[in-house]
Amino acid sequence: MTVNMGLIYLASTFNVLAAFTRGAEPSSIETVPDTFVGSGLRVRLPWDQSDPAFPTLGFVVDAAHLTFAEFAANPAVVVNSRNYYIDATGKPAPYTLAAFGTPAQTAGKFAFSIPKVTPPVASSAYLLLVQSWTGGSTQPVPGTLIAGNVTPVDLSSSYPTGSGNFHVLICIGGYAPTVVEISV
Amino acid sequence: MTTLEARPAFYEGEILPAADLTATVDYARNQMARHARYSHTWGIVTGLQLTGTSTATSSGQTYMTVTLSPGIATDGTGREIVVADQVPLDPTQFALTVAPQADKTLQYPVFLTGLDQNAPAASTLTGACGTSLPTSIQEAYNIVFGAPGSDQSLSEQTQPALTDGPDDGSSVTWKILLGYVKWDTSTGLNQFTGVVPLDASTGTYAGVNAATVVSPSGSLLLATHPANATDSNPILAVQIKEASGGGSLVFGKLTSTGTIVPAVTIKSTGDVIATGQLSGAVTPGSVQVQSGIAFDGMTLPLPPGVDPSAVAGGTVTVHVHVSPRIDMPQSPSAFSLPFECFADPSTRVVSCRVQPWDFTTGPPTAGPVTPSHCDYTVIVAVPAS
Repeated sequence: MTVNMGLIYLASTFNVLAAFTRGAEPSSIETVPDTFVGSGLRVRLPWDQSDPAFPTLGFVVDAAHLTFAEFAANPAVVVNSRNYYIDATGKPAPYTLAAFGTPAQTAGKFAFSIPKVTPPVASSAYLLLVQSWTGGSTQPVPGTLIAGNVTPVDLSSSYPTGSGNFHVLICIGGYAPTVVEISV
Repeated sequence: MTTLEARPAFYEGEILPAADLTATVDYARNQMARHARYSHTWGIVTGLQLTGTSTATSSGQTYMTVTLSPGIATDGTGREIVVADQVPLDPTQFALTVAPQADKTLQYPVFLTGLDQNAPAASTLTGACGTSLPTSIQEAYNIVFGAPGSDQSLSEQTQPALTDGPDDGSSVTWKILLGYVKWDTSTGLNQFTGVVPLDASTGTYAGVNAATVVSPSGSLLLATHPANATDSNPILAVQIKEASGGGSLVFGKLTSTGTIVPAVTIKSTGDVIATGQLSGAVTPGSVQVQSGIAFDGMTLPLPPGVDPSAVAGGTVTVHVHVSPRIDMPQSPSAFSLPFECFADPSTRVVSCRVQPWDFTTGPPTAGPVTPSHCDYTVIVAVPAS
């Protein structure tokens, strides 16, 4: 009997966000992730428990940004799914690019630059998920296809006034997703 | 002013004009046409099948002769069209009326239309009865060919007015699809090269328009063909039948003797007997299980066949068990301990995180809380009733 694994990943950037297996396959395989994400996939990343923002760290990614596919089960992928992305051949592949550095924020503005040691993989895009430290809904910010070693992001028009602390989950094709904190 | 139907009536000594006699015929025809239009649906009633016979020229080139079998159809105006004899389709007529295209895979629709035409005057009548005027109308028909795709607009044909009788086919022709023919311009033979008969999905067949169907015999049968039909496919039927014990609804194959070989039987008591498998349904009193590995944040999948609406509605009971799966390499400097591992009882969303500890230093230090995966089992219990 072939055991399959299901991977849930971002449709625009191909970052794998969750993996699962199941012993009893349905008669008709699902083609969309709705069955496995409910109202949205909750995404949390490694975070220091002593950080005051720890209790609220968690993004809810709407099914509209996700897609789902089944593959022959690979234990390495199942137990380390956050280290994988869907490559150009449509199969899960481990990240090989060095992680991008801490974004340099423009003081006082919700604007920053994402530095990358190596340009992104071909045809990659980026997706930002923004959440306030105090909790609340996740604000997705789709980006366009990117190239080059620096990606400027300016969300000043979305957060023009007031101050606050935000978690931003940066998802770029070929790079492991990274959470940064932005203070405005 | 209200339009009323009028029925011809006569009186003793009346001198009958031809129009009054014709009106007696028209009254019955119009009534039948309205019955056909509104108590039934138009289409092929019986026969009218296109068949092809492969033929070869003296030089060995093959083509196909296509014939239409006898039959009856009712068009959308309520007109009955009778094709009494087998009719060969005329390839010359096809070539003249349709511009055959180079693509030999195209299917050209073949239509049947009705047409009234005056019958030749009787030549044997003499004296006062001698006349050159017709004394009957032939209910003729035409077989016409159409361009590929012209069969797609048949449902848009204009219905006559409510009280109208059948159309005579002179001004407006109602088309009934008989099938398709093929043509290969490269052969130069000017003959058909293929025929595509109708099937249940492509043909329009006469039917019944009724809100209530009641049987006088205590049994009601619906079948895909008459029992004695020689069809290549098994004939299927549904029968509702009364019985002293309560009766039943039976679905299955219809034999040539008119009996059904039951595949599914529903008794009046509600018992269901099936000779095959019921898939997609969850048996009352059963337990359905799903298990595997799931990552933090996911919604645990349900067992196959369990309807999420049944879970949401509380008609089934869901039992969920998760346990942390620590299968990553462990070392004294990075020893993962479970931080949390549970599934929300109402949403089945998994919360599973671990925290690595470094025991090589004193006192032990904790690393970042990290999302992880767990083993899960979802058991759904379906109530017996």
